[in-house]
Amino acid sequence: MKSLKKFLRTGLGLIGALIILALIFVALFANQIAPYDPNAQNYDQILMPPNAEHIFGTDDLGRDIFSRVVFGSQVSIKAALISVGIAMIIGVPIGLFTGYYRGFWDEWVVMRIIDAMQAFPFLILALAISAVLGSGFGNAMLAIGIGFAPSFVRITRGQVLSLRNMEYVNAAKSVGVKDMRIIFRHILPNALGPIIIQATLAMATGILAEASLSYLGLGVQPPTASWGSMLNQAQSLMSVAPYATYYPGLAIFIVVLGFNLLGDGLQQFLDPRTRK
Amino acid sequence: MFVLKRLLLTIPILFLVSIMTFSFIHMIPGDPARVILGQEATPEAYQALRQELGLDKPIAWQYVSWVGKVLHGDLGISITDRVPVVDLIAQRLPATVELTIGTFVFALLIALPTGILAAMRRNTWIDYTSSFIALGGMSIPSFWLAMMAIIYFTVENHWLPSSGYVPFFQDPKQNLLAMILPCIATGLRESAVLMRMLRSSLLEVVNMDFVRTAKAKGLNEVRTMLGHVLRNALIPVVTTSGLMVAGLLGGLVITESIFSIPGFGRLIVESVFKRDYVTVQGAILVSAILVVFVNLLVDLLYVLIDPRMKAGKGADS
Repeated sequence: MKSLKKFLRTGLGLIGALIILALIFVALFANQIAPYDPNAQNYDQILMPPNAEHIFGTDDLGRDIFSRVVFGSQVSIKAALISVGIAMIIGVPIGLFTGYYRGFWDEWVVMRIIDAMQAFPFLILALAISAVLGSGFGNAMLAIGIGFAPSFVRITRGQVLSLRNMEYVNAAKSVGVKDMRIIFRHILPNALGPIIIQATLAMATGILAEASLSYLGLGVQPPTASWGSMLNQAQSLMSVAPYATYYPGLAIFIVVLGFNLLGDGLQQFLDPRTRK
Repeated sequence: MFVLKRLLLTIPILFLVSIMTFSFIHMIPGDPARVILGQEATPEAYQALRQELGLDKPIAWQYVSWVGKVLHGDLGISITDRVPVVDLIAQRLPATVELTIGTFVFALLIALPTGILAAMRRNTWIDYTSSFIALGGMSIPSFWLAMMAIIYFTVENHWLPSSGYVPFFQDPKQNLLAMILPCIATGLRESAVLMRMLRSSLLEVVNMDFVRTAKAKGLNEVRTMLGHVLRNALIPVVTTSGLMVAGLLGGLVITESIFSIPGFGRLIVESVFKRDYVTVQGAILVSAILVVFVNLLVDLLYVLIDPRMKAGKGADS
């Protein structure tokens, strides 16, 4: 009974991992999986409800919705990796250095900038950045990545603060190991756990944010199939073709759930307080 | 001491927020006036806009004069609508405030009972199911949930309107009806976040000494939970709610677009598409200031709920 419960707890994380693996598989083999060209328009088959030929139906341009959902997975996985990648490249080093050296720069410059950045609602910040830079996938990624960076600074810094006075760090210092080496070889590896959890959960939010921006028309531009922009186009057809809204949204939901489950599972696995 | 420190801490944050918002116009690649007006603009119009935005002055002077205006409640004139941005925002805020309150009420109605139940029945199927559903709730894109709600409640069954917002004081019944779906669509996610927070916070308190004392005194489970545990567990939940306001303001951008509610978020989206940068700038400034003050309020509330805070065990950085 106990091991069953334990499995239930970590099992959810496992399901999350499987969902993500499935997403990667679909994205890699989209060409083989999709029965049609995602952008091929067929005016003889406009707004067909799901049927044997088009299992998810067709949209107002006669494009196969299933094929578009399959290809949309590529955008989502890119969104997750790129936005979180940008956030980590900016956030983790800043967190490492400010946490390690502390002092004026840490308390009065970096952390206050972080506070100020976090005062801007995330999606509004992303909207404003893409307004300035122009719409498009790359700019949306930059906007989301910048929006995520503060949380990585905070989590990395918090880890470093709890590690910097550990005995093994002091020991390394006393035998003359250089700061850089201490930070990257001794502190960073031990701080990675929470950073990885944060990255996993941020990927879930990143996919949602990309879908939101694309839904508003500021992310991925037509005709590229992305789940958010598909929902944008399907919205005006809700009363005639509700099925066109079902699958792209369901796809976002399942994939985001996958990342959340994995993140949650990792958290429970790595956090000794909840591991019981 | 804590209160004073917290108030002082707000000053540098507001200063940095103002610098970031001010830089917004200057982040536009190239010449902002040119980008806003387009290539066909007459030289006169171009010069006039440069003067209006103050772009012909040195940058430090521009910042000081901009902050001076902001402090007097002047956020500039909308480029496309030619009305003061402050008026535009003031028109749009009531709908958003109402949505925010409605969303919170809905979220609390769901989160309080489920969170308490999950914590009381820890590690049972009730706990697992509700935790799983909560993760699911956090994963649903709110705009998709909104669409599904519209298809079910409006398109198929004509139970609830999906648009047609009217101000509350004009027609309370119509107003509330039009608010139900938007509040559910945004509130589900927030309720999931709150429920998870409440559950883990309850579980932390449950193991404390005073709870054991209460139980030893012979109080039953429900009275211990509601009378002793909940009060203490609510403290971190209040903080979370404060932090949620920022996310909520962002989320409402989308909800308002779908349900055509003339709110603050929709103003931002419209202005982004109209390239009305002055309005966007004013709106992001107002949203950041709102967030800063809500967080300040929550921290001060903290002192009221938890007298231990006053002693100076501050929640710094």
